[in-house]
Amino acid sequence: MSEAPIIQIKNVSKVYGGSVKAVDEVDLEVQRGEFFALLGPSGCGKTTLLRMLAGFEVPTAGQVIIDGHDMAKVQPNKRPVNMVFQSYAVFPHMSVEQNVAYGLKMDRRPSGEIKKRVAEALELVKLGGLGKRMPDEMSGGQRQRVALARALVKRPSVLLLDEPLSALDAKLREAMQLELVRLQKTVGITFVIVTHDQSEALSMANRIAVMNQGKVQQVAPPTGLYETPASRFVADFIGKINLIDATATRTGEGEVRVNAPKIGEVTLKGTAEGKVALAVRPEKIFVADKQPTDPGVIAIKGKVGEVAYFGSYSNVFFDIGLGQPLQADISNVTSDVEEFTFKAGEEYWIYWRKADTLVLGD
Amino acid sequence: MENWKNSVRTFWTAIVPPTFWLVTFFIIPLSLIWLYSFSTKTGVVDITLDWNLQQYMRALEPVYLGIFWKSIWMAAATTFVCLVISFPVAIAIVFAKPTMRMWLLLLVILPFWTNLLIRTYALIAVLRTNGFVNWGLEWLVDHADWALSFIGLGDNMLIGPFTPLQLLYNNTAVVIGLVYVHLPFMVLPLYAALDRLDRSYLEASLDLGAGHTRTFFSIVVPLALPGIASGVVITFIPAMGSYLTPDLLGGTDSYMIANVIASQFKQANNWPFGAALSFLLMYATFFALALRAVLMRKEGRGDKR
Repeated sequence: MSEAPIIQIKNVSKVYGGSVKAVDEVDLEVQRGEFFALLGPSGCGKTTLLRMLAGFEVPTAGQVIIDGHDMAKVQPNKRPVNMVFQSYAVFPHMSVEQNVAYGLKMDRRPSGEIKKRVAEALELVKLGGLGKRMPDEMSGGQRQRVALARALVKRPSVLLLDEPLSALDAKLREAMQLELVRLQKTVGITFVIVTHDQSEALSMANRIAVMNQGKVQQVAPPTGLYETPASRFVADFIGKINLIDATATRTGEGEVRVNAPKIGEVTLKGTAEGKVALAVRPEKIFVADKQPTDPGVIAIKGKVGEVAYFGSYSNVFFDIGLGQPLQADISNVTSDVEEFTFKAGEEYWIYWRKADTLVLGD
Repeated sequence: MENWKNSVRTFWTAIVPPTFWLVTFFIIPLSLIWLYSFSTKTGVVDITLDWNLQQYMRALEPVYLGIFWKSIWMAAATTFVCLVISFPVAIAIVFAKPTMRMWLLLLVILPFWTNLLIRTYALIAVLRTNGFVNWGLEWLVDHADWALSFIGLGDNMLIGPFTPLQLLYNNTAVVIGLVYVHLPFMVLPLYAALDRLDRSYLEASLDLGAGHTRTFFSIVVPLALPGIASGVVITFIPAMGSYLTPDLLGGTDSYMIANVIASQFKQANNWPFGAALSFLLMYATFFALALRAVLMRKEGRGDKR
């Protein structure tokens, strides 16, 4: 992992029809052997970026370097990458074996080697013995495995995956997530996955680039993205979060004084100034009957509104006298139902640690 | 919505007009012709139905079989040329911008809206000895000669003088005419098949290292096979039975089977023999359709996702 990055995206833009900026001056580096995710809402440019890596789109500006080579003039069929398509694109007129062998035939490998590698690839994706099947005799999950085997058998430097799990049902999707992580560890190939599903990205990737409106908002490991989001957009996009509009002024190195309605003035760690958002994750909020005395917390009175019970926790909305309620995920740690039942209208003190509070700019 | 089985009146209202139409204007006349083919001509206008096979025996004589064979050959050549021309055209339309696509399709269909006779005479104006093609060639030759005169090779030393090409009244002219007439029959089913083709198949093929030519023959052609089969059949069948094009553009040896049939019904006034020839043509058509059905069943897989 100490070598040069396997993918370097330098100042890449893609403009459609002269004005629509699908990708807007993106800089990214993907390290060798990483499981990298491009995450964002639909239309954020993540798929365009992936297709530029595959060579199906040409950047309007900027440079794409894969494995040390500039890809500007390299056609898709000459790139050291292979792709798993969202629709799988398993050729319907070829058997599973023929599908997997297709790429090796194009490379004019000897037939003995093709046979061996196809069998290995099918074994790798747990489709051993199904080589003679036709795609229309297989389930969606199996077809996806064919697409994976077909791409991996070529031993690319990078495997590109375009929303690979979106067409699978929830259960299969979870199994496939683990499967992909296992595969990636087994083959050691760099994976770049595009997804709009944050849980998919968080559970699989080593690092995630969050994109919005063609721009990369933040690149970080899953924990970094969740615990220290760089902006309001990232915080809001990844997981649930409470955002309270506030103003902040800088008071010292990495320290700001924040003035928020109902909360008042607090000094917090952060760098954002001016109009900011105070942000706190619902699971970091606690509830008490009496006002907490700990000076390390922010406490506020709230009235119970809606409650959603999820078994292991309850998602409780507290009216704190602001426009929007504050939501808290309260762990249901006892089996005494009375203990954790929140009734609408009841008043509580809700509090969270200052250290868990984020000050986010736009 | 109410099931038609539950509403007898709806059922009959829907079924009677087309049935009437088919029976009156298709089945009855065709049956009459079919009966003629087993009849004998007994006078100038008298025909007796005596269930003999003489007319068919005569139709299978070498001279007529030769014309049948020639028709098949001409239709096959037409179909092949149409396929070769149509594939790039259909691909270009599929990959054109959606707004352009409509106009391009319109351009393909446009000749349909002009009378066949007018189109054929227009083609004569293009192909005849003092037609547009020969004019253009003459202009080219003259100017090439003029240009060569600057390096001292003028005055027809290298090329020319121009002799007009004989483009009309031969088999080539007939095939050119048939290709011109039948091109839309090939372009449209090909377009439909290619339009349905998921682009990611093409991208997957490129991604796996295939060039554009390989992708075309390994992915596009097999997946478009149902469309190709449709195009081939609906080009071949009318081409085989064409009458006007060989009549106007062909020479004395360009007779196709429809011309023989017409002459039997008209000049020769031999309806039974004309009927037998017609039905032989029809059996050939049925054979082609059956062949397509078998092909489609075999390749039906390509249609599914």
